[in-house]
Amino acid sequence: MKLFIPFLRSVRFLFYFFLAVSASCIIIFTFLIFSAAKDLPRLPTPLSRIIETPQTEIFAVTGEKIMTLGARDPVPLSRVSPYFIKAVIATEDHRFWDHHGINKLRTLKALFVTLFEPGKIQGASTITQQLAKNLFFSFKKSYLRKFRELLVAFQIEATSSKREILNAYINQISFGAGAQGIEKASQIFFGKPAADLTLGEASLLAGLPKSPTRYNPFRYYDRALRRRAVVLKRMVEVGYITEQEAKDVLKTRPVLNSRKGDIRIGSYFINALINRLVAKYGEDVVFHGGIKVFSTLDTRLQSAAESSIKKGLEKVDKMMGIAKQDKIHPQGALVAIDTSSGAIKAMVGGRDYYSSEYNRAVNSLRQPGSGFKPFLYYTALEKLGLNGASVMTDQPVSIPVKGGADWRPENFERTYMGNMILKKALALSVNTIAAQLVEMTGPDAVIKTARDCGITSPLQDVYSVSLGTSGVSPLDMASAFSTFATEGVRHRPFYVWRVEDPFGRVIDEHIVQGKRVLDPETSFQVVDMMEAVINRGSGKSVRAMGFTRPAAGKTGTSDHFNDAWFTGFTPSLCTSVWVGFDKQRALIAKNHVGITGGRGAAPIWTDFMKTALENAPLRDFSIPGGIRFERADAVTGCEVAGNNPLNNSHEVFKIPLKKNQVLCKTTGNGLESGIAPGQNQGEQK
Amino acid sequence: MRIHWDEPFKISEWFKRTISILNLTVILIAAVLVFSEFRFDWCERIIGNYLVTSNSTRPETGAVWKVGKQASSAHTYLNTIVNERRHAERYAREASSFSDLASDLFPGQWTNLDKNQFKKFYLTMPVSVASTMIQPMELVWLFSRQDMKRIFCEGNLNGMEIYFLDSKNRVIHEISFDKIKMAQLEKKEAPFKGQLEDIPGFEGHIYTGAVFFKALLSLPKDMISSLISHPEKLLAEKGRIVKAGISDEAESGYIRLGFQFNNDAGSKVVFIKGREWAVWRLNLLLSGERR
Repeated sequence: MKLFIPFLRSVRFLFYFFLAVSASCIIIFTFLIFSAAKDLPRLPTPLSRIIETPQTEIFAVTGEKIMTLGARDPVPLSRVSPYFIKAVIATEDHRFWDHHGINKLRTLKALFVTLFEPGKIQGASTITQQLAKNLFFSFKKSYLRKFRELLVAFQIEATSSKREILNAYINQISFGAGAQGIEKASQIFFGKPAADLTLGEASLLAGLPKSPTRYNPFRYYDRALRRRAVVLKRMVEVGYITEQEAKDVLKTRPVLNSRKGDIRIGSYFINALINRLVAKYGEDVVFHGGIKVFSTLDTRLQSAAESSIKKGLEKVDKMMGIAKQDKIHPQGALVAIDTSSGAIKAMVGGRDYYSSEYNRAVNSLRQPGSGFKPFLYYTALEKLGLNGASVMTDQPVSIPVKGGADWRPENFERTYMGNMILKKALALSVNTIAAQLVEMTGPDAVIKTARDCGITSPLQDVYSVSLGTSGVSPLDMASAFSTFATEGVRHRPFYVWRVEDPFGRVIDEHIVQGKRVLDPETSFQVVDMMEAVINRGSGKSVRAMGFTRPAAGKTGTSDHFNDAWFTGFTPSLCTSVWVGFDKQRALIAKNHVGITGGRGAAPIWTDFMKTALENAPLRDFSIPGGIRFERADAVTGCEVAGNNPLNNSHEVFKIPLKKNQVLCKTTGNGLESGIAPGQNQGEQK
Repeated sequence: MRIHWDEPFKISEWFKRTISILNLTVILIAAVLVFSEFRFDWCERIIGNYLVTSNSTRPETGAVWKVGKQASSAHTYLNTIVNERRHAERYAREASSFSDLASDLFPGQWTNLDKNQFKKFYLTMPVSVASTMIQPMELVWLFSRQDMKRIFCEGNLNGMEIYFLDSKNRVIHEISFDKIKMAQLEKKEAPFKGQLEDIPGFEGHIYTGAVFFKALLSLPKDMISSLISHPEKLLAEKGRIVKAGISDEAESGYIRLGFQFNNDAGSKVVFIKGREWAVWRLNLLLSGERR
């Protein structure tokens, strides 16, 4: 008996203790409810209001919709495959139809695991709780947030039917890859309506909301399939499908939408476009205003650009011996502009938007190297009255720099060829002649020409600017070179033709306004020199690859092969291509030879231009009225006698001349074709 | 109040007390509550229904409301832009001249201008002033061009830019309309109360009416019409022309001629613009007369 007494005492104590604790818990819980209820967010009624936000649509110039911002494409449950509904319920909340906002047993279990198994956290959120969280709360984890979320879930359950809750849930969850809501996800991943999803497809989609990026099937297909297996297992456990059905599905590999590329086509372009729209109208209008944006993007050209960059960079990888699994790969950028308007028709800002969103086409300022020389040559022709047949000497140069060491630029090949005409000098990209020219014109004049043409990046007022030592963006280069293509008329580059409000009323439109910034005849003379770059100079790989249309351009390679450029144009389309590493690293091939603009960027340019201009009519550059052509010897700059001057002893160039220009005659600046300015200066000294 | 409690000293008494009605009731109620909660979720329902009652008084916070507010703010902004456009269109319809329209358009605000409206504005301007904007024949050609689709006006700080656009929004021709400059030009066209000698730019080139017209009428007829293409302005004035003068400033291919009328109300100078080349011929003649 005496033994029992202490035991009974303890039982009695425990009974009253638990009674007291339970009562206290009820009181505290009630107090918490009253206190938290005051600040709880108001619930919209009806619940379907949450999916009624207008969407901003972005269209390509070719008419197709390329992006929808804030889009959900809500669908009723009746238009969603029952497989998906079952899959999502089995995975997220198998007691959804029975509970009233909380799965108590699962919550208790999760609480136990969280409290007594350190390091482990088990989720127990029901679909209603997830909906409450997505609608009203941040993703910051806290017990208070969880409690408030629970209360809102109770209210949702009290005001809405299970079907309404499920409908709201499946129309607002994110599946990644820009897909919000099941209909959008179904269209993006499988190119079909949500109603037509098969068990294999539905179970794959149902697994994505757990971690849309981690399970993105476009990028991690096998990982997404493994997640699908988990979903199918849950469906079997819950009794929605048989084990055999699950096994059959596991054998299949759902075919993803092949138009995936189109759905996020021009991601870099769209990103740049959205940034501009946000700067102009603000985030609210762009993301929630339901505006319609008619962009300049041409989807056909954009696809070609993306494909050319991909292929081109793979070739560069191969040249450099970089394997697929290597972490660091060279990057590339491409911008294509319609020369007659300035409309940006294609833009690629990097190798892969999904791995790096940094837009190198717009934001990256890289040294253009010799790609900058056309601005120098224009300045020299205009300021010094030179022409393509003016003769200069390729020789070692030393240019005194005020307050610094002399500037001694060298040629790429470290050799000197003696006298040559300017057209040949640009075609072969001779640095010493460029240096002599900039000494005569002054760097400020070259900078002015570049600015007039459309270079907006900061440029240093030093001699070497003419050899491209100041960083510029591919967008700047494409825009500035297209000024040459239009005989000196500059068009501002732009992304948007028209913006409409949700009711189709025009709120903004682009007016194509050309501004004459260069002399048309001099501009044509420079274009003619740049044609020689492609036909017989540093960019002749373009012709070797079979691009036969009239085209002009300039290669560029920065010091130590850090950057490889090619910017070129036909009369209608101007494209700039850059290749290089994000961090300072040289583009050196396996055989220790540097990769130049002609080898690294020109092939990408050619591949793109061939596709881009596939069905375009053949057009030649228009020749200004005052221009006539004469044949000049590449060394003397004098006319080559006879009707058939092309013999072994002469290298002949066809030179466009202005009315007041003649071959082999002294110009207004005292320079004489046939006598190099360096020699003249020497004689004067 | 003090409750006197004695601990039982027999086990049977312990059991008797444990299985008392009160205890059993408490346990039973607790068990029913727990069981019924698990079975019927009454706790969730009560809380949910309670929260429904306070829904309307609670704040509109959280992601979904934020999106709603952003959408509403976007619509307000877009409506402002659309309303501004409508105002601009109304200004274009109601304006009586380019100056009127330019005054109403704020920098950045724009509207399309009907071709007939443009012609109306243009024709209400004095020919010489209108010619500084665009030569009449150039305008005729612009309106005849098949590719000219519309006229787009955009306000700026000085007045407005007028663009003649093709169907692809490319600018075929652009006119910068400077409000102040145009007003000054129009002011120069307005009659001046006073004498020719009081107007700067005419000194040294003032002649009596008789000398001036004698020289003028000695010119070939086609030259006279280039000199004074709209004599109606002179014919409409009361009084007689006592003096005539030639300005020493040329503007857009024209030179101002001043005609001083004397009548009962006093002196008044009326201006007309003549073609520069024709005025120079007249000037030569008049210089000869003077010599």
